[in-house]
Amino acid sequence: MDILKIKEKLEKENKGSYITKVTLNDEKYIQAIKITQDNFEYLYYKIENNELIPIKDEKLLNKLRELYELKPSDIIY
Amino acid sequence: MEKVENKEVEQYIKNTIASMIDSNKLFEKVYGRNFAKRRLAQNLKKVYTNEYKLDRLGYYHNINKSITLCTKNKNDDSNLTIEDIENDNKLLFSIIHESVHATLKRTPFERIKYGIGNVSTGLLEELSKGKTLGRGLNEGLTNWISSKVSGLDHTGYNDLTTLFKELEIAIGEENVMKLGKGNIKKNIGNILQMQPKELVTFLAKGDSLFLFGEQTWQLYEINFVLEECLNANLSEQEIEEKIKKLKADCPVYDKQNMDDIPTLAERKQKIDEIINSSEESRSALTTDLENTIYEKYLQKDFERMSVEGNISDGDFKKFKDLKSLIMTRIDSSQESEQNEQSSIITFLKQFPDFEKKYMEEVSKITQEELAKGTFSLEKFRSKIEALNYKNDNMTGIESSFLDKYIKQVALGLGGKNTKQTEILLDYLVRTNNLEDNDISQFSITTATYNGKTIPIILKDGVPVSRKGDYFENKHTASDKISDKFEDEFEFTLETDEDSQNIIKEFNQLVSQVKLGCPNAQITILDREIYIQTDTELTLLVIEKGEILPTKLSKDKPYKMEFQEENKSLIPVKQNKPTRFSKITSRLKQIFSQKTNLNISQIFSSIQEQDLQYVKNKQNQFRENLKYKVDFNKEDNSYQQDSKFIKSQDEER
Repeated sequence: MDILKIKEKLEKENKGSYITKVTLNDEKYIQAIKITQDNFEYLYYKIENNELIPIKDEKLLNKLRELYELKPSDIIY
Repeated sequence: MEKVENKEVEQYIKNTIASMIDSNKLFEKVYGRNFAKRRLAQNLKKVYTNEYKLDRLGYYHNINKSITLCTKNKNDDSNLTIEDIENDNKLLFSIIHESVHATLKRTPFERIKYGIGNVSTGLLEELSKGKTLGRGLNEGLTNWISSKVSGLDHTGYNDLTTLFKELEIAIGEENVMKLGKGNIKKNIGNILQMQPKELVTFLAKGDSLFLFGEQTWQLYEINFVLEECLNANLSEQEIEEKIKKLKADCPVYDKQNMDDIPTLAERKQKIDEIINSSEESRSALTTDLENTIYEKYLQKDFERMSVEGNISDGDFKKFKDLKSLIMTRIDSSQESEQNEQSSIITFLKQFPDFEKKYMEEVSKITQEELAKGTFSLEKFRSKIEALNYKNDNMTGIESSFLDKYIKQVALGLGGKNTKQTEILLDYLVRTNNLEDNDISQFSITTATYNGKTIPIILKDGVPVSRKGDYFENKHTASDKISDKFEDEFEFTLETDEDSQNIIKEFNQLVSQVKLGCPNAQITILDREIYIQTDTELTLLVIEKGEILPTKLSKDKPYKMEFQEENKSLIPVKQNKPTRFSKITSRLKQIFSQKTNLNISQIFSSIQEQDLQYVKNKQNQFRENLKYKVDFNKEDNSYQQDSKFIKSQDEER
């Protein structure tokens, strides 16, 4: 599935806005962002058979968040 | 060395750097007077220097309110000084960058008003516990502001900084500067004209770009260490220690579960794949962000003008600058799935036709204005600025157009001086000397030798280099010559036989000149030797291993000037003004100055001016009679050896 189709599918299925592709353990995932009430959250999907399957495995999600989401830091460069 | 507190640098930041930031007009306009000075007094409590870090020049600690400057030299045990800083542009830029972070740190009042946490500065906001947004683009903005206030080229965060240069083109520099005031929930969306969903996505992409950038150093470091472990015949214990240190320095190693991979070779292979994937993501993110900026603010106008034409100089310059910025990153030979669908790639493909349309309009409008006599220096300058052609990166089409355009303008100015106008204009354009004052300093004359005529460009009467490489004088001083003649001139350092012979002849020539005229100034420009004595200028050319004399033109050097009233670009007439025209010109000058002089004073001042004019002309006439250096004092050995003297004798 090309990026344009992924973006369209995410919007159409209300699965957030496309950010980027990310890699973990040789697998590729789609990172998207969704606005919640006065805040936002990152969502992750896997592409299988031209469908966007949300990642629900907490352990995997934590690994992805650790690698691909910025945390508040006391130090800025 | 451990980091140390550095009071001297702290004061330097609070005074010198703060003044630098505050004295930038745009910064002052947006933030108010002495903003940086006040904020740094509140937000900077300590400065540390000499901390050892391989991947950083410095950082700001939001909670401690400190700036730390780093060094890559582990054994450096001398405190950082102001002199060190001012001699190192990268370090200076880093200090300014961290100072901007400190300056734009949100106050407690702002944090309450915006509903954000303590880790907030510029575009970076802590929106809730554990969540920040805007960090990536904040780094680009901070670099952009630091460059603006200091005039220095940015260091680091190249992609993010370029995005802000593109944003500047899109929404203007004042709006970009305002982004530093923050408030994602309200102000930022207004400035960028984005709804919340679009804004959050835009900022999040910037954060991803930042994150990939931060990881890149770690990935390359892991790659390097694994390569070392594989190839350097290390013991198992040594490898274990290296991997242990690697995990401490590069958290990505554990996050990517590298220890789960059994062999070093397989780990190396995996890191290579991750690096490729990461670089691909970075490139795609940057393209994505550039597409957003282009589509939102620029695409509509570009496409309209591409069809309708009527492209102003300002509009053309804007899109040309945009193209240049995009091209700093994109390799036109790259083909990727993302690029094919990218609006900025379409823009790049459409740009040549857009440029061609602009060039055609420029030629047409210029021709009309030249015919009407309304073509001015300012209009010419505006077009040259819009075209923004630099010698080292012009395409063939651009170079050809510039040549034709200069010819067109020179022809349009008319008169017997078309060729001279063309050469002078070409020089002024390529050396960026089109300001009013600059133009009046330059003139052109000619010299002939061996049946050839060469142009000589003068600045305030002194010859200047006119060869292709205007921006770089490649001459370097030869040690032998410079020692002997106290660095009075420069000479190309070459070793072939022809050049060595020239150097030998040149040494002899200089000796003779200095004997006859100790104050003579000798300059080599490209392949020409100028000898300026108290009374005259002589030119010799270096060609095929010989130094040849030339005959300088006796005509007054030709100068381009313009009428004061309407700044029309016209050549100065070679004919001497008549006494009558001189008097009327002087009358005009006097009456336009609203003088309080009475009539008799006016007439006496005219007569005085007139007399002075005649005297000046007489002196010039006497001076122009002589063009050759007086070699009466040369010695015999020089007369025997020098081809130059032989030529001179033949002439006599």
